[in-house]
Amino acid sequence: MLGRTNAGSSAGGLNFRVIQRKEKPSTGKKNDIWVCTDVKIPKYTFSVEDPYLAYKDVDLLDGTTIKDGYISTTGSITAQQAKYGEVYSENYISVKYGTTYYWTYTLSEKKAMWLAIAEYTGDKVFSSRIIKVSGVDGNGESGTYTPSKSTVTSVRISWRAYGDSGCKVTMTEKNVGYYPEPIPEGSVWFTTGTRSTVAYNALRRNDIHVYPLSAKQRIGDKWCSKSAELYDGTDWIQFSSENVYLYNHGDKCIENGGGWVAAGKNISSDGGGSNKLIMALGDGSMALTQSAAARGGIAYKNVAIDLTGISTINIKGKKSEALNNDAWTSFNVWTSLGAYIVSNRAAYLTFGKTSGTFDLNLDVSSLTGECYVGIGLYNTQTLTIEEVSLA
Amino acid sequence: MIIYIDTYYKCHVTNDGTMTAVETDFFDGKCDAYVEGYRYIPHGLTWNSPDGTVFTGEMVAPWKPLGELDIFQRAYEQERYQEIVTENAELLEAMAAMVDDVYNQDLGEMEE
Repeated sequence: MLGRTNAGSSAGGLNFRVIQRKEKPSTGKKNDIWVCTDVKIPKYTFSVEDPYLAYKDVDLLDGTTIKDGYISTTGSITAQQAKYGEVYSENYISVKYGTTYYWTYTLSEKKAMWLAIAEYTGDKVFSSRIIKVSGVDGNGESGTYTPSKSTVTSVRISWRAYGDSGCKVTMTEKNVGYYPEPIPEGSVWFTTGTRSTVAYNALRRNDIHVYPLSAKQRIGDKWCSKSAELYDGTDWIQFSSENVYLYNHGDKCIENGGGWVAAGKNISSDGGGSNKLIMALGDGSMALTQSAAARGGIAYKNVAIDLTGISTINIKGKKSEALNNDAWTSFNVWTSLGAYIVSNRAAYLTFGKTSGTFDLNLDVSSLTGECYVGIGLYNTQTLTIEEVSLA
Repeated sequence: MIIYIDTYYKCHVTNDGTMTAVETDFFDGKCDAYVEGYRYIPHGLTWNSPDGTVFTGEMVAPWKPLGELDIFQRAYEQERYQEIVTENAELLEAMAAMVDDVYNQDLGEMEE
């Protein structure tokens, strides 16, 4: 997570603001992002996922640097310490007001335990409070901590595990790289990738650019795709639509139908056999290769997708060279996965034989209920998928 | 099997004289009603739907609700199953009669 901020304002070093009203303003400021939302974005629930900034280094006050955004402290206590006193973490942990931190501890065996946090302003203790007391039945707990005042700049964790000689306590910024939990309705989530129709400068300084791929809003218990545009100083440029994506330029869109899974599957009982496809997740695309001659394989979404109300599946990609078996290189909708590629096929399209880009539509307007979707390849060839969406 | 497509690429099992014949194995084992609920766009051809979406062949997709077509297909398969059961019963009956005939013939010859 690179930022949590009020919708419609710039905070936390992020150099953009989100406009949440339904009607797009005719103009804006550079780096404004307009999201056509159905539900008002709640305060402090606007989050951005960014592969470059999510795992930022954290500088601790004692001069050490913890990599990968993981603020951690680990310690062992002696039998004497266990008997007479408490143990402090060696490091001060930098914290920010308004941010939630996730802590967890594990003990080598079930023991009574208390965990406290001392809050510091600079090098002065601001307050010390116990955040967890556990009875003798547990050897692990987790919870959250939020700095009590804006003047708190760092904390030290202390704990006492009665009679236990080994204890590990960790604390990390909550929601790093993940959806916030629990997810308040109205929350907006941006997925980002290595390319997009537009980029914005994520920081006021350093000129770090982020490539937004799609905007989603939490409505009920689902993430719904939303139309979103970025103002580049001159024009509004769309980077997200209300289409539901199954694959989007490097984003596997796990929230829609799970991940993409490769498998071997013969085209039919008349085919030469099966061989698992090689699935290479590259820079903004997914290359699918059948490496064996006269063998079939598929790459599919591993969870069935409800096609009720969906009229079209759109597939974009490219063929770097002519396909040698265009009849069996297909995008398929299966009512259930069977023994062969042709088993239980409700609809399909083929990609054609010539090399070049493709932008194809499959009519699914008469299909309802849950179906599996995926690509079938037969014979040695490679197909590159850039985008699969439902409309 | 051979099917016929009209100008909207809808499938038919008989040609009214204006249709194009297409060979495909997608509909093997399917009943007429199932076939006629589908659209088949041959390779290289395109169909513009009323909402403006362009579909390029080869594409095979139902234009009638698939659930409805499945009902026709299940009824057809049930009917085919009953036909086969009946045929089997008739075949068994004929075989039993043949065995009886041979037995009676042998018995007659032994008595002679």
